Amino acid sequence: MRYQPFAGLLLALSLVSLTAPRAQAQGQYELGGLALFSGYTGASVNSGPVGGNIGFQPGVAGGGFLGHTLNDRLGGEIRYLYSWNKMKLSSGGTTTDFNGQSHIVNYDVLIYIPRREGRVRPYLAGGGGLKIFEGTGAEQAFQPLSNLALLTHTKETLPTVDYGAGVRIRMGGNKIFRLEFRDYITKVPNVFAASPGAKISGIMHQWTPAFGFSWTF
Amino acid sequence: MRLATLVRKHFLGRWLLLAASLVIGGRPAIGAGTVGTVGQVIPLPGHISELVADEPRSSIYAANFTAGQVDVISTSTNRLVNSIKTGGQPSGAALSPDGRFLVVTNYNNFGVASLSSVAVVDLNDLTRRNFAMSNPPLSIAFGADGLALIVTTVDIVRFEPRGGTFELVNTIASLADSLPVPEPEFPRQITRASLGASGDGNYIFGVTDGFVFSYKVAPPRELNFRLVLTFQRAFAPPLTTVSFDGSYFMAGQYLLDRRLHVMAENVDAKVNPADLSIGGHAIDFGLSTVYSSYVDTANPVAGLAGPVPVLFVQDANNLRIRDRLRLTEQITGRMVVANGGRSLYAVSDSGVSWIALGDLSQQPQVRPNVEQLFAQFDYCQKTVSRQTFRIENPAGTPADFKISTLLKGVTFNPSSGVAPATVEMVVDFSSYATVQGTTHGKVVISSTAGVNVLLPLQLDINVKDVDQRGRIVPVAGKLVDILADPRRDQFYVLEQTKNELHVFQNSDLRLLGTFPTGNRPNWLSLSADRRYVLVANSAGENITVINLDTLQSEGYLFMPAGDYPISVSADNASVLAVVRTPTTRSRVDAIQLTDRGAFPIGRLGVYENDLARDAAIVPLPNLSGAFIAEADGNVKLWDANSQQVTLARKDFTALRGAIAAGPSALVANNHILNMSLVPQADLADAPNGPAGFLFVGDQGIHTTSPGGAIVDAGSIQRVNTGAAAIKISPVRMVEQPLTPLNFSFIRTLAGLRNGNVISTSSTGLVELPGNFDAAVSIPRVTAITSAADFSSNLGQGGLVSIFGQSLAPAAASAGTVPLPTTLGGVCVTVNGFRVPLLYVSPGQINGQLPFDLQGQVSTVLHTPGGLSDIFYAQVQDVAPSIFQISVSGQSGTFPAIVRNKNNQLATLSNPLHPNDIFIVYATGLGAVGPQVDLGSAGASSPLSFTESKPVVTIGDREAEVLFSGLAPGFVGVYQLNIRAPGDLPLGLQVPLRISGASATTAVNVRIVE
Repeated sequence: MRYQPFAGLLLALSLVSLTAPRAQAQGQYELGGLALFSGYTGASVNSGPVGGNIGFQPGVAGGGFLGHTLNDRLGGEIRYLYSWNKMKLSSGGTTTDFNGQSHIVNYDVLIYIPRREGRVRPYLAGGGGLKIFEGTGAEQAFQPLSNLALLTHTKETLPTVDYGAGVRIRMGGNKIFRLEFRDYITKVPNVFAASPGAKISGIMHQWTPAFGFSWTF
Repeated sequence: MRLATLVRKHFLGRWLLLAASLVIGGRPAIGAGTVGTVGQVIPLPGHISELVADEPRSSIYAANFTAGQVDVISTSTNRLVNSIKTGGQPSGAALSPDGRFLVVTNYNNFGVASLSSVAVVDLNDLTRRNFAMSNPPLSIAFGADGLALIVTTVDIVRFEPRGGTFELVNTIASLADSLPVPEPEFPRQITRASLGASGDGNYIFGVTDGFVFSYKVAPPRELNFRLVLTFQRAFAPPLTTVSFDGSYFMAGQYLLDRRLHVMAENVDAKVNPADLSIGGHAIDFGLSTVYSSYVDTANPVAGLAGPVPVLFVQDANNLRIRDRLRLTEQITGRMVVANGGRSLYAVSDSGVSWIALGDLSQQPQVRPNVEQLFAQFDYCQKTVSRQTFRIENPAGTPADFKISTLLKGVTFNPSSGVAPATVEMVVDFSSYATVQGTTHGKVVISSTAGVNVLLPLQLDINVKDVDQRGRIVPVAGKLVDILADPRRDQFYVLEQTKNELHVFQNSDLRLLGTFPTGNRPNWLSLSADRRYVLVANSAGENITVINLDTLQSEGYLFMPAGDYPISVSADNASVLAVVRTPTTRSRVDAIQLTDRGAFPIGRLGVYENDLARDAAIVPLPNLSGAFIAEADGNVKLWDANSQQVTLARKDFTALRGAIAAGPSALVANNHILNMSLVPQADLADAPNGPAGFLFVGDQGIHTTSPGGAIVDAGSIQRVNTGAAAIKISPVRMVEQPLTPLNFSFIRTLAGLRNGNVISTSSTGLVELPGNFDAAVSIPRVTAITSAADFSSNLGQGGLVSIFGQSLAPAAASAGTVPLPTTLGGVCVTVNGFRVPLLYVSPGQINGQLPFDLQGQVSTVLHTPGGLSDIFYAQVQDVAPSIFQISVSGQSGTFPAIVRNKNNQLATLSNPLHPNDIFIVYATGLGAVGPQVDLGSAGASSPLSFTESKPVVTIGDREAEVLFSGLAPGFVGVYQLNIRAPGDLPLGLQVPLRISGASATTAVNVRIVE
């Protein structure tokens, strides 16, 4: 069965609409989309004297967010991010990969540095949520480096925490352009399975610089 | 021929005419007793001397010698429509190139030569002019220049039909008889000369009882003669038939080229001046085919006595007989192809026979799909041997057949019937229980309705005992020479009856190809540079040259006129051939390979170039010369440097059999000579006789063969060729090697580059390993396991591996299904059941357990080394074990579990998922239904299901078994199609168990979501 990413997003949005404070005035809410790049720092895998690295190859990312303003300096937003990154395993000059993707649904608190009236508003962000890792490649009976780890057609949902920063630039009217980055942190998902006798260590960082457009209402 | 015979022939002719009308009018009824023949007789009142085809007028002109007329036959109705008086006895007739004149030579020499004449019939108005000749004319043929060539009793003249003028071409010796002659004599016996023109009219060839000649029509005209006494035998019948371009022609039993060289000869044709009335031939220009008819002395038709009228269909390059067809009536003279190749008209006993060539393929025929039948018994197989073959009817017309043999214990089922049919030959071992070696026989297949005459099939029944060495590879025919190629992994075998050179691959004796040779190939040699193989054709004045680099025949190398090569050898400086001459002696000719020519050598050093009629020549190992052995006991040594014979001795009264040359010794028959030709020792072979000899370095390998009617295997042994001639480790062969038959010398052994030794034998070839005489050990079995995972799970019908020592002399794999029960000289019995074998080797044997076993079973192994002790093992009804397979590039083995989703092995990186469907390959799952014969593969339709379905669990969850049965196309391999449960436990090492009634096997699999 194929994963339906927007189904989770709609569910999240409905939850937000039930729990968030009602808008105080026009411009309290912000709806937008963002996209750019997704990169990872990997983990290591070792089997006796043999070692290697696991992780994801650089890829693309895109998603959306629904934000709201709590006061002049504080805001929050619920976010969805889809990332397409091939899983990879490398050791001794040999690299193998496997198609993979991830979905992140999280809630970030934004702390704006200037007050609300400023046209350019840098901010800091931090929060948490859930990240779904999924191997989507074709399984093969014999995968290179299968003595270290296995890249397989599996799926796992893990908690993630993130932090980041960005800047919002009011374009005129209710249009806003933003530049930002996030670092989503999880443990190594089991789409990377250590082969018998091997051990995986480390944590996964997904670095996601992005730009986006949004509308306030 | 007596008058009574003549009368009987005419009486028979009427009945045969009736039979022929049945054949032509409608196909003969099966079992009605009607003899299938080809040919419809058109009776004519007299003896015919010549036939001429007039295609535009749809006519055949038959020169009726005794009636003094030309009978005109319509080729549309095949009836006599007219007769034209010629004014004498027409000895020959020919049609002018423009088709206007039929010119008939009248042979009227009743003591007054001037009565002879040439009659010119204008076919437009049937007017006739006669021109007197001073000498009786015998035969006539037209050239493309519109002039006829006429052979008379004393000269050859040209004749111009419009003006009736003659021009002397040459004078010849007296020919023919004077009339009247005593009865009964036929035209060809009286006139004894024949002319024939090429289809394009550019060449005319003639034959008389004294010479054969060629005449080039276009200026400058050339007339070349060759005396008949320079041929091996007289011409019979004295007829010429010429190809379209005159490049070759038939004269009597000979196929000659334009230069009057013998390309081939019908050597089995009976040549008897008293029977010159029998036989004829024609060339089909379009098919390069020779149709001929003669009395075949070597292959009489089984069950029929006397000269049986047979039409031979032959290749035009070497007279190989492709087919034999039973004729309605004996052909007695000229044959012509007419109707654009669809009809053949021939002078026959009662007049003229018409044979519808275009309809031959529609006539009932029976043809077996094998040339040879072979049955073998050994210490494993001592019951019956079965072999099936087909009797086809290519025409699709029902034809009856009968099969019989004189060999005891051989039955055919069915032994008679209607073709097409599948016939099973069953040979009962009990009839051969006391035999060791090969018994030879023939299988006669006859048909009443079939028009083709079949030569008997070769039947060989071999019984191999434990100590007999070698593997038989059946090769049909008469194998007369064998030669290993020192540069290539192949060897050559010469087959004489079909004029073929076989090329076999060293490693597996696979037939790589077959080349046509000349007629009756007798001896082989490689050229010094190893680029060519030379074939001495003993029934032709030529040597076939085959380029081994291009694997193409380069045609003939012609010998001097009258020289038939019987042996050939190439050394560093020369290529020599021993040739038979028209005398009773032979001699040595030198061959110029580059020029494709040959010439007689005046003398052999100080010795006359005069050899016994049977003599053979072989090169010395370093090609520094050649060794010649003669049937009268003479031996000679040719030196390549001095180009002469430097040694000759005669220490024996006769020589026959093997001839071989080694680095320090020579062998002729069983005599070992030193390099000075001095006899050193004789190999005592009693009670057998000597067969072959092969030098392998300084040692020799010697074979012997029992003589006469004794059926026993021959022997093979190493020989120290020094003065002591010590024989080392003689062992018995699986069957007897060949010995000379028609020619005094024969080579039967070849040493291959891979070290193996090949011997030509009575059934074909015997392959022996280089260590054929190695000591053999008694086999010892140490374990029997499942062949799938080497566990102790042994289930009925499962594949098993037997481990031990000296289990087989060498590794061998089964190449066919059903699996053989004897492989590499090894067989295995379990509780007396013979086990089908997949693979044998000294340390391991793989085979299939019988289905009807349970509990403790006893296993015994039979090898050339003897019998093993009994080994006991436990066999269950169902004892599954999953195959562990090795994958190229991967270390370790993997259970044979294949995911249906991607058709790949289930591994850690291709794990099973909940609800996956996957296939497990296993063995030992017991009895199946429908049953499959032991050693046979499971069928795809219908599938064979196991009688009890095993239980399959993954982790602690039971999986659904969708199918449990034999894997189609495999022997002893079972297939389980399984659906994984949806609630599978996840993990890297989850046990997958297959449980039978009393045994379980398990492997670990990875399960992921």
